[in-house]
Amino acid sequence: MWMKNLWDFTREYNEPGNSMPLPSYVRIAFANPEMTRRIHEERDLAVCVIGRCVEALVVNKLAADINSCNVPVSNDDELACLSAILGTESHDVRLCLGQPGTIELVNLASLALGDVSSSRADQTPPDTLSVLQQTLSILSQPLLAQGNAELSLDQTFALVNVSDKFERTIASRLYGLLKARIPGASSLVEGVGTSASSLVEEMSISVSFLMEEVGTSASALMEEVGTSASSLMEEMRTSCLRICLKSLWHCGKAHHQISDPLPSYFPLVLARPEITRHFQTEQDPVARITGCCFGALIVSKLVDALESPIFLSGHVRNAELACISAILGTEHDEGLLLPHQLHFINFRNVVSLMSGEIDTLFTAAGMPANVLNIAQDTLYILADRMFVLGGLPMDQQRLLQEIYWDVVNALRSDQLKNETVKVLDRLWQILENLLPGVESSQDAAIQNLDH
Amino acid sequence: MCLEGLWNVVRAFNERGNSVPLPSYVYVAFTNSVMTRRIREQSDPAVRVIGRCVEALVVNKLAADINSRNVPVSNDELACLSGILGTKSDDLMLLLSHPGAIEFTNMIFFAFDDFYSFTLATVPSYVLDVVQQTSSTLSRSLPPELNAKMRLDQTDTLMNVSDGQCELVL
Repeated sequence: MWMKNLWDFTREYNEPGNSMPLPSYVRIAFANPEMTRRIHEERDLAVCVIGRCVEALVVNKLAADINSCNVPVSNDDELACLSAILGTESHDVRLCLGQPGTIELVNLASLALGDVSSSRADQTPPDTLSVLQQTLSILSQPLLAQGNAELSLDQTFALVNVSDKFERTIASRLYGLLKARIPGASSLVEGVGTSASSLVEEMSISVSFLMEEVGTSASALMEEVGTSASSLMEEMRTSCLRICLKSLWHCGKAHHQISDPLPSYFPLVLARPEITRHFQTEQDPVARITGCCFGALIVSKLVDALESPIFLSGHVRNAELACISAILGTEHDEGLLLPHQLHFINFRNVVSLMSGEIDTLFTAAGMPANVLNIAQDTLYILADRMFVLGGLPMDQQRLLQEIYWDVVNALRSDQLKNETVKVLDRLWQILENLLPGVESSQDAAIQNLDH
Repeated sequence: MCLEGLWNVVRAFNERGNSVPLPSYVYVAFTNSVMTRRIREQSDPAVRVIGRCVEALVVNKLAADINSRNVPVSNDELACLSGILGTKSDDLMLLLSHPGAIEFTNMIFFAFDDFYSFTLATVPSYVLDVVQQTSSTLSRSLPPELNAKMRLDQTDTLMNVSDGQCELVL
């Protein structure tokens, strides 16, 4: 009842025409990380769902207020609140706010695609479901108004068998957002948005003025402006990519909490090969790690649904297999791979990723703390899948579990960087020896552990 | 019985307004993390629920005391709020600098607590009354526009009793 009233309170602030800003005590309370933690970990599904809806409405209202001012956001409280709820860095939020619609879309996607268990009518009380539906309706108004025309022309979605047009619309917009932030994509400049372009234009006008005034050293100044604009555009790109990927990773994680198969828009659209292949070479370490972890979670769910062994190499006709193949790589061309072997390869790839990015994860300056959490959570989810499904002889299973707990313990302490590297390497070597000929490499794995 | 007595004392301090601050021995006791942990891990639901009600009222009264004076918040007060709300000191200072933010946070955390549904066999009826009265007190400390929306007085807190099942709707 109390949470429902709170939801109603925040909903009123989101009504069209309500220009009253959100009270500062609401912003400040939701900027507290403990608030978001409690909402996300709430055991009562109804309270959790309503809490998530309140959070989403707070983000929506704040983004609208900031956009309506049409000036760069200067209030740290607002940024801290958006950052805490969206689970990303204030710097990224600030840059994304410069690209209208981005925060709103990610906010909507997190609630609509990420809180999958809450949208299940069989588990959620009817009045809570109604709160969720009304919230999604409020959040999606600008998106639906803007997106319908372009969606009908989107050939990609002609392939997707998604009965829910709503989810399809959101996935399509997320795909557009992703595509625009991947270097080399044709729509990059368009995607960076009007704010950066207008900034460049403004800076050029200033330079022209200075040229007239000063007369000399104009070319150097012009060059400086060009460099700054280019750097700003790159920062905007990476910030948007980070926020978008964090939202997708959250969706991938949420789908591991339910037994339903992954919706087809993941392999067909959001995790299609040209997108996921880019993650491995992405320049920004946060986006690279988040993207690779998202890919690993998608593979994990897709492999769960496999009913027979598959080839990773060669011509792949099926979108799901193409997605698995692009993320896992095609070097495993020894033959047919069983689902449990695919889980091993996937797990090993994440171990390898963490091992390779250890400096970034533990010590890189300015690295958001939640990147380590993303990598850790992904590792735990994949390990859980691997151990639950089994496929290994008991002694090897035990061996892996032992070393896995060493990894978990090492990761819990950021003081143990060197130890973590050693343990990750050890785990990687064992996994390497178990794959793909799992049955024939038992001795080698045990020897490795002895060393 | 002892906790219920404590709850009565803390509630009385809340009812008296700003004239009498909460005694330091009360909030100093709650700076000890063992206190909050024991309350949360109590296996007896009645003790756990009343303990949480006491904690919520301590936060409410401390926030009111701090807001009503010009003296900066003390370390013990900060530690007490931090322990009960599970919030770092920096975040607490931010909350304290915005009137109503601590009270709002306290009320939400109270609503998140897992005492939505009990059986009358496991929780005596007076426990439900304790929760109800605590909710009313916390609600009255909220900013007026929010309090009006919440309307969390006794008539709005529903208790459905049927077949020995009692549901308290916060």
